[in-house]
Amino acid sequence: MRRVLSWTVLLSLLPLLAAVCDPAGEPARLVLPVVVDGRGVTAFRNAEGYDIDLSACRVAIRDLEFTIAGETHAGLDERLRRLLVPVARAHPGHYAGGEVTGELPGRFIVDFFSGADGALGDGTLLEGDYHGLNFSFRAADAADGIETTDPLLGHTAWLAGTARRGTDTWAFDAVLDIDEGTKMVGGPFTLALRAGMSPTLVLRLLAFDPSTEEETLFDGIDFATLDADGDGVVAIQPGDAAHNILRRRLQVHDHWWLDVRR
Amino acid sequence: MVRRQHVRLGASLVVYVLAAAAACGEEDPGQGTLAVEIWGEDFIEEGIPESEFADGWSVTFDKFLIAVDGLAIARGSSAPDVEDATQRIFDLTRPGPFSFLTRLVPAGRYDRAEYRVRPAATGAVAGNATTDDVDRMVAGGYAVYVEGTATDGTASKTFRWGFDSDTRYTECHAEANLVSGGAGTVQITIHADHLFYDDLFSETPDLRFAEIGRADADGDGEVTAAELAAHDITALPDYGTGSLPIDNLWDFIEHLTASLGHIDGEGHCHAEGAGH
Repeated sequence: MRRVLSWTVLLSLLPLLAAVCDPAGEPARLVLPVVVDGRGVTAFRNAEGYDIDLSACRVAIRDLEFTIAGETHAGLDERLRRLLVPVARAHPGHYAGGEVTGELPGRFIVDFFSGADGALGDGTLLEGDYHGLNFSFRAADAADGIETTDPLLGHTAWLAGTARRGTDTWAFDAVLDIDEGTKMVGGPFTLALRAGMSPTLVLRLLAFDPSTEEETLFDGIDFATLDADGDGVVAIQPGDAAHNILRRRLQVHDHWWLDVRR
Repeated sequence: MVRRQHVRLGASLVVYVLAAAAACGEEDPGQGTLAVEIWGEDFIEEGIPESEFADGWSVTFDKFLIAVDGLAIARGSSAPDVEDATQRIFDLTRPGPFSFLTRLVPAGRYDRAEYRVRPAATGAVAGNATTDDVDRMVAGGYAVYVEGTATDGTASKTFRWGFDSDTRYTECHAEANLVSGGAGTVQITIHADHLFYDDLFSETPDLRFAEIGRADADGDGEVTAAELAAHDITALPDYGTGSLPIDNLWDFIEHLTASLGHIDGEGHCHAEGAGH
């Protein structure tokens, strides 16, 4: 009788022990290489009718975050998730974008015209269904190892290229300042990441908003108006209205994309 | 002999069961009275003074109506001890704070609250608002409705804006520590100054009204919702929108309505929902 009772008790405890000790419910933690696509940005026509061909684009950013949709993920072990990455919090009272379940901390200068992939590092991501990319803008400084003559020094972004409309051509150069810590939230990043996968994540800058293929990075920039002296050269600097327009567009997630290379 | 063994086994089981119950159960903490109130502070009742603005303007409110429901208050991660779905309409320009509800609840530390500010619907009741104001909120489908006047000392602009945004404030860090037989308060605090922030994401935004005043395209002294919607902000040095595709003042201010809600004064909440 006692033996039967003991076995009954023991067997009834097995499911509980299994639930407590079985690690199968925890998501896998994957380390994936993250690179910036240095093959340039496709030429495009902005809303003002200028055919724009970029030849340089470098941006100072930091702390990439990879997010799944919504604020919670039932399949994730809360303790493990919080150990790995903090939950995204917007400024109190403001919105957060998705749940951060992956990260690549650090300071980067992303160069979209280096001609090749530029390694940013290894991101750490929990398995899950990814939908978004976040990062923060910052100002480039001497710690980035750039030359004192580098136009990016002290600024967030530097873009250069040409704009053509009809028979007229303008060479332009734009230096942008974005407030330290301003976040780009929700850049498209679609990946159902599962244990055993090892894709490379590729950061790209898009001239077009891929959701509409209508709005472009340079919409609102009228080069002829900006060329007051008519010399065919336009410099966009902090303090200019054109700077504010371009800065605002560069911050919008429509122009950032994280591709998955398998 | 066999009967004695059965008696011993039975007694042991009773002891185990009682011990398990003692281990798993909790002592009755007693009860206390938890009052929930809502307040718009001096900024709504008396106005936002010039010293708070970066551009020399000041604002006073004639009406600040808000529709609140979905109240839940809990001790830590336990199930809420206070839940109330009734949508109540308050006019926070009247001297407060105002009672939202009062409940007899188990004593304990009430440190988690949530509530919702969304378009008033049929069935909404007056918190302290007049019947006319409740009707105005329901008819307009407003979550927040403000009327007021701004001035820089020389020019004056009036505004009457109704917002249909829908925001759930969750994970609010309440601070009510209720002892048995005692009383405590959780306050829904509304920060009207956030309507005039000049950045959606900055940790240190300024308050500004001059640009809103410039939106008064017909110069009649009233800045309307339509005029704000027609006022492009893309070339402005401030009015940062982060990654949000917001390009006009109406959408900008409407987005800020989701930052109005706080708890117990400066306590923070997590805001969910956007715009409409």
